[in-house]
Amino acid sequence: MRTICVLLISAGIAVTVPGSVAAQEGTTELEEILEQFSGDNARGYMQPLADLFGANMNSGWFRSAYVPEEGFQLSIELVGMGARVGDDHRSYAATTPAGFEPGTFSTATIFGGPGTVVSHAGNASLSYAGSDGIIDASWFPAAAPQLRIGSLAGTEVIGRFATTIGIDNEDVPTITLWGAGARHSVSQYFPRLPVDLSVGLMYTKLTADELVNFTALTIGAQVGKRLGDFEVYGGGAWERSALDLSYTSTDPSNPGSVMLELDGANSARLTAGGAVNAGFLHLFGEVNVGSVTNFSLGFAVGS
Amino acid sequence: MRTSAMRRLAASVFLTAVVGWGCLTIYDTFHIAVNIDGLDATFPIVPGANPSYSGSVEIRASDYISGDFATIDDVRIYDIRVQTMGTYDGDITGSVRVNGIEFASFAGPWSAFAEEQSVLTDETIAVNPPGMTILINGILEERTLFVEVVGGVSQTPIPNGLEVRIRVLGQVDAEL
Repeated sequence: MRTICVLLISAGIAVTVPGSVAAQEGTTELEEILEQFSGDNARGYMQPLADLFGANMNSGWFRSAYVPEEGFQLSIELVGMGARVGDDHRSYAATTPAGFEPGTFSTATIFGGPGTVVSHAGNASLSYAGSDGIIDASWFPAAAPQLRIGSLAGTEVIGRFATTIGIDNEDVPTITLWGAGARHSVSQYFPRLPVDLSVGLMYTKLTADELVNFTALTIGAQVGKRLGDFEVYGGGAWERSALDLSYTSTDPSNPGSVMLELDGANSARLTAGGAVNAGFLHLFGEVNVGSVTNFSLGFAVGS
Repeated sequence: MRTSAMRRLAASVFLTAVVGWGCLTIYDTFHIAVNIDGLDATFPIVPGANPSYSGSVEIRASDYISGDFATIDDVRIYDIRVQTMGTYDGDITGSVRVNGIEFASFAGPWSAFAEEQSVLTDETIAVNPPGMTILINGILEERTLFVEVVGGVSQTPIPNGLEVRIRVLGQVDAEL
């Protein structure tokens, strides 16, 4: 199997890991697959990707509920996220061409195995099939570099950025990920509170050529407690994400332009996490529970 | 544990985890169910007193499957469609053949096929399994296909402008 890794570019420093070109080849092959689908079957094939990627991109934005009131804070962070690929993410009910019997059949999603072949109930000479899945994983990962800057009036800002721009290879699509967020300390107004409280809003956008446009938004509150070099935190958030696909279908039953919006499964989440702060190094991890369960693990250098 | 050692440990554990975590595994080989394109031929019916008609076309592999795909591992046919063009009041019958072997047939009023009809929904279109096997094997082996239609109409003289269109819809399992 080919292992591919996410290409990261942060603060002008390219971090290229082995197989990154294969990652971009995976995107091109995805387009080849989608072109064979009409809209309904493309939706079923790709929906799990929207669900898991959406949950990942709304994760890892904070490592503490504490936001200082004042003072210059800067940290460079690297966050990895992973969402579990369940059995329900590996297959979907695809539709056969009009008049074919059966009208639907279960076949592989992008995370599934071999596609299913179904024969016409009344004529075994006729058959139809779904495409194979292309990703073999129990966990769907993502990663993003982050820059955190604060604090002014108890507010910090966070940014994410990664791109393939600058890779001179026509087979490599242009993928750009950026995100921006802000968090504000609530506990600064309640100095007697035994815990830290904050609220935040974070937005993410990813584009891949003209095929994919992804957006994610999360708004939530965080609560935490600092215990020396350790910290525990939690939170609750509302969220939404959407994966927009735009391609031209070659399905002879319904050819032409297809534009799909796949809404991520998560609309809310609860977070529980902890951090270890060793001077200017910080290690943090969390679990997020919603319609999709995912984990984040992050590393920060700075304050 | 000393703070500096804890820092180094934390950094190494995390970098290992994230680099490994940030990687996906894609199957070395996987099949895309690619739509067959180009198995689509239109046959003119000669006007005049002869109620019989026939026509043939040569369809090359490059006409029905893109060269972008590495190998073809399987072929499926899921629909055969018939459409008549032009105005005619009689009936039509037809035998659709590949390399001389019938794989489909149709019969009915000319006007019933004015809107494209599918074997999936129209009982007047039938498939012949041995001929379908010949067709499927021909596509699988990416051979040039000689597709012909032989049939007749019920009324003469046959007016100008009549045509019969045959479309074969299918998929190939192609490796990228």
